[in-house]
Amino acid sequence: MQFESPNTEDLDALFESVASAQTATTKPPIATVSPIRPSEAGGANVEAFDVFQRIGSITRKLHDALHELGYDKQISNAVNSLPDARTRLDYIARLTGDAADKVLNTVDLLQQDHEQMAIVAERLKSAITSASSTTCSESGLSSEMLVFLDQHAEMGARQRAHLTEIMLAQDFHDLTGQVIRKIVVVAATLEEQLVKLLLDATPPDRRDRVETTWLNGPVVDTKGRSDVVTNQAQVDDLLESLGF
Amino acid sequence: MSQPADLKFLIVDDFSTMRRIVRNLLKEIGYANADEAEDGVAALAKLKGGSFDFVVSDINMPNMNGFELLAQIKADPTLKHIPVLMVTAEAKKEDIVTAAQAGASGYIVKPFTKATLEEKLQKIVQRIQTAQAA
Repeated sequence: MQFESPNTEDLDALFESVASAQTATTKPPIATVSPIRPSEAGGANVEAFDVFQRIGSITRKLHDALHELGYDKQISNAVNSLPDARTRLDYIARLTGDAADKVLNTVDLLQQDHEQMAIVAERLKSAITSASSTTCSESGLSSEMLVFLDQHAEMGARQRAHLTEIMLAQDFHDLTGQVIRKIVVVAATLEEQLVKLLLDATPPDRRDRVETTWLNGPVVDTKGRSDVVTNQAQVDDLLESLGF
Repeated sequence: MSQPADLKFLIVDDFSTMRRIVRNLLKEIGYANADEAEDGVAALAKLKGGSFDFVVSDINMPNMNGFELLAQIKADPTLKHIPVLMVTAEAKKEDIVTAAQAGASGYIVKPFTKATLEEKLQKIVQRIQTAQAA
């Protein structure tokens, strides 16, 4: 199995050119941040202001719409479903991690066996070689055995290379895990925003029932499943206190 | 530095799967002496406590990421001689430039092959030996 390596010569060349320029000038190894040119900054500011205005007006419209709808149930449903989505993503991360570990453990055992086999085969080969030179070279059996042992060594080398491929293929867990983690963060942020939106839309007479500590935002930790549950309970409590 | 095969490696990655893979590959390539750390903070503590010759680090990690770790290593007079090879899923050009400017010895993008890792390691080890001979 061969997979495409992204380590292209382009990237290599880029790294080498920057690295060599760096050592040539012997600058202190601090990443430089290129300053924003004034002409760009002006344009960006105007644009940012425009975006700010638009976000403000969208938020206002959403806020009013929520009031008219009587705090739409859909928001509470969305808030409720996000921790569930995170739990499911955690489940994927855990299962793929377990599978990758199992493969790595098995590869470890096979590699150990291979090492042992290679040592024994090598010992046997030298034993046959020295024996055949002195006593039983006439039988033809020893030469046959030597051929077998050579084949065995070749096959062993090939199998070890395959095992390396199998091992390397488990890096999918790292790569998919990073993607899952990013989605979990997005879900958590979205949940936090929705909860805040819900609180903003809460009538003043109900606000005192809401504990401010709930606004700390959900704990984003794919490993700590207890945190997710705790957070779920808090969101449930929050929604309950608001009458959803 | 001691003989290349005796080099002591520190593998830094928040995913245990990746640490195991890199450790296994290093062993296959001929570097059996390796330790692991799960993020930059743990790595820095280990580096200060032991005599490491080589760091292979991920970039995207909690607590202290690979760039911060690299900066800390290069800012510490007792550690700055240690070569740092970045192994990461981040293939953005600005990340590669940042790593090179911050003093990384090499940059490998995941997923990678054994041949890629071996080639980079050899290049860096040769560079160190040439620098020491001069």
